[in-house]
Amino acid sequence: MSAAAALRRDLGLGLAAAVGLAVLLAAIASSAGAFDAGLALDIDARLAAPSWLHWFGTDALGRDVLALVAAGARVSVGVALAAVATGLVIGVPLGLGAAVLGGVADELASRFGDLVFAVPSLLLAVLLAATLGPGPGDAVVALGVFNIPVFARVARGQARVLLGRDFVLAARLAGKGRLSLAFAHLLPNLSGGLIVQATIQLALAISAEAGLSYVGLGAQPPAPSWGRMLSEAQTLAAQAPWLVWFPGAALCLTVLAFSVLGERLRDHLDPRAGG
Amino acid sequence: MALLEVRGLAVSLGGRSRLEDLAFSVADGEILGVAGASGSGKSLTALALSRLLPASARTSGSVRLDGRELLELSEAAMCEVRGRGIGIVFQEPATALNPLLAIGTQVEETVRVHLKVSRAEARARALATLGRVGLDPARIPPERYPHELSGGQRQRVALALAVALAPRLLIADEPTTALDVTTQAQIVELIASLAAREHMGVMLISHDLAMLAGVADRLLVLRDGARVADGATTSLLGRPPDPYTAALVRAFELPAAAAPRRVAGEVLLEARGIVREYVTPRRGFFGRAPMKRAVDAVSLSVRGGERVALVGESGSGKSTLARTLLGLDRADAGEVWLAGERLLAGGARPQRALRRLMQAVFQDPYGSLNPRYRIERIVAEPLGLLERAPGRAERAARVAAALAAVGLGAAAAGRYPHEFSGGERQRIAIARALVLEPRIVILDEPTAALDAALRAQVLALLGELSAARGLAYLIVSHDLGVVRAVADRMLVMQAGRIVEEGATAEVLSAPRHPYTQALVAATPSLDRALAARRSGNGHP
Repeated sequence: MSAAAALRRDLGLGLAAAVGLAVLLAAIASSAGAFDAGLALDIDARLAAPSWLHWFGTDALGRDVLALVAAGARVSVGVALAAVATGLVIGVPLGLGAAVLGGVADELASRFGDLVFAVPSLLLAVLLAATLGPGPGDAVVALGVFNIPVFARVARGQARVLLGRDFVLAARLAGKGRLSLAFAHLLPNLSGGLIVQATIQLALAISAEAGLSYVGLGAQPPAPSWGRMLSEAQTLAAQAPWLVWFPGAALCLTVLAFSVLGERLRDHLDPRAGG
Repeated sequence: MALLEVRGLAVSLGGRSRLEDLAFSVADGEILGVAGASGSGKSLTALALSRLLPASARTSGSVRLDGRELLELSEAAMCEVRGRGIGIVFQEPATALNPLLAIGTQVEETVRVHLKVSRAEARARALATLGRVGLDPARIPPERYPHELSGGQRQRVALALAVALAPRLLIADEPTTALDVTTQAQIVELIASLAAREHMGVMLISHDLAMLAGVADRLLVLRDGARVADGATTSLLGRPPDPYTAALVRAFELPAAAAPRRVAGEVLLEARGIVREYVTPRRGFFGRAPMKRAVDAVSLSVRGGERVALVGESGSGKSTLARTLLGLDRADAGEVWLAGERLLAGGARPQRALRRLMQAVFQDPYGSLNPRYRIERIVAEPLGLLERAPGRAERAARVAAALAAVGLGAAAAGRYPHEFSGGERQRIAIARALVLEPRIVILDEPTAALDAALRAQVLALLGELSAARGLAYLIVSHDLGVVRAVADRMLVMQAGRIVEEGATAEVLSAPRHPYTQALVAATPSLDRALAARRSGNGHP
């Protein structure tokens, strides 16, 4: 069956793929400066309602909201993806290692996780901004560090359950060392839970980036991000509700699309689901 | 009129017909045994009667309890029936009880949900019910929690919950499968005496024909969701009227091992004074965690080509011992020797050549195969113990040979574990153990998760393999039927120690240790049960 036929058969997946593609294109186009015209200030057109000229309306500075949403995709989704990827790449091996090695290693990894959880990511972002200067990089590092113990805990918990299964004993009898046990046997069985957790973390990271931008620690003005658009719209929501609708809808659709795509990826990787 | 009257009961799940045109009845005080292989629809029938099937299931036909049609009742009315009309006991007592409620409180809650009585009255009734199921409140305080009870006692509490409101019909679905042999007999006896004393009809679902032969008045045999036979227990099992029932009976009565071997070969596997201790949960908040000896100075030996069984109840330490022998667990004291070399616990790498001589098959065929791997990769895994990794062609050839040895085609190699039945999975697990052509295989309860027909097949396969290859076995089991069918010699383990040892036939016919005697006496035997029934003293 061709990919196009599969998409026609499955509307949800098709829509999710379309949203994903749109976000990706928007991010690429905004790097190429495609929205610069819409982002220019236009005091005469400030707070215009949606119309044929400005489909999504304009903001308090007369910038086109459609252009802002498209350009914001780069920072919002980029920061979220990078933060979750950081958590996955460092957290999963950490959690797997803790589960397989046990003892002191497990204790150290778990306490490290508790320590990170105890430090708010906001505080971490402030410290980073103070040393590196503010920018989206701070948000990625601060949110990424926060994601490490999240994935480490999921990986450790599931791995410990799997370690009690007989196929792990069989692998040990077959001479598998701890590392190959963790990566060859446990990791494939963890992927389902990790993918689901990753889609949740993506959603959280997009909103957390918004929070950091709000206090001036994430993307710096005038670079738009969905989070900053939402926080700036707060005081104007009664006069110009479209300032909330469109970035909010973009955020919701993106999170939804990520979770549909994540779910399909999980089913595809599981031989039992026939995917 | 019969107490329960089922006519034309049919159930389909997900568009597939699972029960077809089923008709049977249960009279007051009668015990109807329901038998059949796994997947034959036994449990489904119980769920359909009590209307506990998922909403997606389609049920048709008629189920009358005391003349009242159950399939037409509203859910609210049905809740009333469950408990007061029908009591239900399931297989696993550990999950049937709420771990956070004291047992007396659990029974009390059940009473209060259904009857409008004062708390004191409900309490009195709960205590009386616990007494009825043999948990005398004077000896077993009702303030105890489920984790403080043994498996058998927990099943008694589950039974108390089912009979607290004196239902007309008791449905017991494999109520003894999760219990030890000696406890099984007591629970069955309790169910039979409750039925007789309280004129309760009982539907007793089990794959254990000997147990059914001992207590059931009539027997219903199911196959693929349809009735195959129905009749008085003794005549049905004594002279099966149809080939399917005859096959069930044959599969249940395992033949004794063909010509027990007296092996005079050199010692292959030897354990010397193995000790394994565990930390038990601490008592109280400040108490110190006491140590428990799971394996207490055990020594044993297996010769080349010899088939040895290690017998004991759950908690006797036999599985812990098996893991230690395999080098998976470190012993706190003692040594394991394999083919004249000392086996070190932990990583298998340094002792690859030695490890190649010993492989294992585990109990649960659903947990012992990695669900993400194809069969080829699963079966080929032990080949990693070879000095030099085999090439692709050699690897495929060895996997195909191992699969052929267990009666599976080479096509199986490209499929995933979930595409196979439980019996086939256990064959795959055996193929994995054979791929290196070891000299000894340790099998931990290899048939416990299989029903009688599959059990007979797997045991026959194990017998053939040992005869053809001169393979030695150490079989860990609680099932004396299995032991009789495959072992030359047996060891009996209790509370971490080996209490008796000898040739299988001799130990089983003349057990010396009291524990072995109790085990042998409690083991259900179809012939013995039928003989007892015919002489009229089988029913308690």
